[in-house]
Amino acid sequence: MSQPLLQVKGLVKRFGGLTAVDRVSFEVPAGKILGVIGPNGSGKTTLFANVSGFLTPNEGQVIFDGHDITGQRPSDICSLGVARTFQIVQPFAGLSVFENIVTGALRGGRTGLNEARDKAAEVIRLCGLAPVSEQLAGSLPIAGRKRLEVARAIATRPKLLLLDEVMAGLRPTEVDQAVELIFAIRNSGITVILVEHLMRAVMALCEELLVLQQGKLIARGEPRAVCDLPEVVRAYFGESAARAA
Amino acid sequence: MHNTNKSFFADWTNWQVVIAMGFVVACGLGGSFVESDYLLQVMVLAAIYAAIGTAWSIAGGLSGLLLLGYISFFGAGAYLDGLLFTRMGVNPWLCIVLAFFSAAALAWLISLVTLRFGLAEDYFAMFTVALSQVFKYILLNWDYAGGATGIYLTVVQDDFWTLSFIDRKPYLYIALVLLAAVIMTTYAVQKSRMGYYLAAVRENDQAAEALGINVRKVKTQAMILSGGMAGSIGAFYTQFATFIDPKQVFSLATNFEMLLGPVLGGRLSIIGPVFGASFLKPTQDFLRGWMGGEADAVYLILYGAVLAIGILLLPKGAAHYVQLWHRRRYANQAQTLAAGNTETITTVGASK
Repeated sequence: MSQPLLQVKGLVKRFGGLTAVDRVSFEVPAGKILGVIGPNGSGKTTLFANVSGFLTPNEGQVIFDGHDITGQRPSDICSLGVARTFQIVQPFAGLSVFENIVTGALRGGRTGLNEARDKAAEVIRLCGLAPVSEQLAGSLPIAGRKRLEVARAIATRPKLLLLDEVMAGLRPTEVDQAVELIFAIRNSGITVILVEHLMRAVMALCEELLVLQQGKLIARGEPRAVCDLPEVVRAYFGESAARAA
Repeated sequence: MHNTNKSFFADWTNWQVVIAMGFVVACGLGGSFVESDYLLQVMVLAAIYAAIGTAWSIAGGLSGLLLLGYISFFGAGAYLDGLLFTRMGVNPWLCIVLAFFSAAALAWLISLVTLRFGLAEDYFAMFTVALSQVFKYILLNWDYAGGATGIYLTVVQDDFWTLSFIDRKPYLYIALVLLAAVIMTTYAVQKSRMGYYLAAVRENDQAAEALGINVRKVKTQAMILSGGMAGSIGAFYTQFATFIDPKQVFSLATNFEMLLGPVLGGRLSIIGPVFGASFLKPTQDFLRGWMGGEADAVYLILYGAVLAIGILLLPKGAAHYVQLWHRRRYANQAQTLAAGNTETITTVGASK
C-alpha cells in the first residue's frame, strides 16, 4: 500500500491545564471519506485546527503528502493541498458568491485570474450555487452559506478537504443534497475528513470513523461496528446505557 | 462565460475609474481657463488631497487596516525631497521616485513591526499616529533638516526640469497627473488578484488564510503601496509649497483632514476619496477665506459641523449609495446574463 495522504502522529494540544487533544494518532489513505465523531467538547474542531495550521500542536507531528506541516502557516498548508471549512461559517459577506469562490480558486496566487474565474464557474455548477452566484454572500440563508463554505474550499483544488459540521442546521432534504455533494467531491478525487454530529449523514458517507472523547481517540473502524462498541456508547450515553447494550 | 459578457460599465470598478478619470481631465481643462492664483492654489491642494486620500484607501480601506497615522509617509516624502533638493541638488523628479521607495520602505518596516507583534485594530491605529509624532519631534530637533524653521525652496525661474514654476498652473497639471496615476494604480490593484486578496483579508482574515492567502503579506503589500504613493505626493508637495516644516507636514490636524475625504466619500471606492477630497478641501479653504481674519474659529466650527453631519448621515461613505444605484441600474443585465438569456438582453438594451 502506498503512503497515506495524511498522518497524524501523537498529536497533543493543551490550553493551560486542559488537554483538548491528547496523543491522537491516525492516518488517512487517499480517496477515502473519514468521519470524526464525539460528544461536544471532545476535541474534534481543535484537531482540525491543528491539522490546518490555525493552532500549533504542543507535541506530535502532522505529515501531509510527504511534507511535515506541523505548525506551518494555514496559507502554506492550504497551498500544499489542505482545505478546510469552518464550523461557524466565515463567508466574505460583502462579496458576491461568485467573487467568494474566485478568491478560493486563486489559490493564493498560483492560479491566474481568468483560470480562477473558469474554475469558480465550474465549482458553482457542481455545488448548485448558480442561481445565487451574483448575490452577496451575506444575504444567503444558512444552507446557502454552508454550501458556499464547501464551494470556496474545493475551489482551492485541495487533495484533502476538512469539513467541520457542514450539515448542522440543515433541513433533511438539504442534508441529502449535502451528502450527494460530498460523494461528488470524493469521486472527483478529493479525500474528505468530516466532523459531524448528524449520524444519518455520517453513516451514509463514511468508510471509516474515528471517535474522540475528552481529546482521546477511543475507537476507530467501520462505522456500524464502531457505533456498537461499549466505550462509544458510554461516551455518548453514559455508563448505564453501555451496560444495557 | 461568466462576467465576460457584461458590458464594461456594468462593472462597478470600471464605471468608477471612468468617472474619476473624466473628472481629472475636466479639472485639467477647466483649470486651463482659471487665471486666479488663489483658485489655482485651492485646486492644486484639492488634487493633492484627493491623491493622498485615494492612495490611503488601499491600506486604510481595501485591506481593512486601521491606518490612522498616514501623514508619516507624506511627511517623509516631503522631507526627502526638501533635503535632497536643497542640500544635495538632486533632481526633484528623481526625488519623487526616490520618495516613493523611501516611504514604501518605511511602510514595510512599520508593517514588519506591527504585524509581527500582532498589533491590530486600534493598537495599530495608535501606533501609526504616535509614530508620526515621533517623526515630527525628531525633525524639530534635527538641525541639518532645518529644525523647527523647516526648509525653504527658492523659485527664481520657470524650469520644468527642476519642477519649479512662477505660475501656479503647471503645478495643477502635474498634481492632476499624479492623481491620475494614483487612481489608475488603485484601479489596477482592484482589478487584479490583489483586489480579491484585499477583499478577503478585509472581510475575514481567518477565512482568507484558510484559502491560501498569506494575510500578513497582503497587508504589508497594501501598506507598501499606500505608503510609497503618499511619499511621492509629499515630495511633489514640497516642490509646490516651496516651504515645509515639521509642524506642517507631520501635523495631526492635516493628517485627519487628509483622511476625511476617503472616509466620508467611501473608503472602499475610487470615486469616494477623489470626490470626497475634491469637495471637502476647497470647502474648507473657501470657508477659511471668507470667514478667516475677524472670526478665525468660525470656519472650523462650520467645517466641523459639516463633517459631523456627514459622518452621521453617511456611515458607509457617499459612494455606497452611488454603488447601490449602480447595482440597480445594471441589475437586470447581470441577471439575464446569469440565466444566459440573450433575448432579454436585447430588450434591456432597447429600453435604455
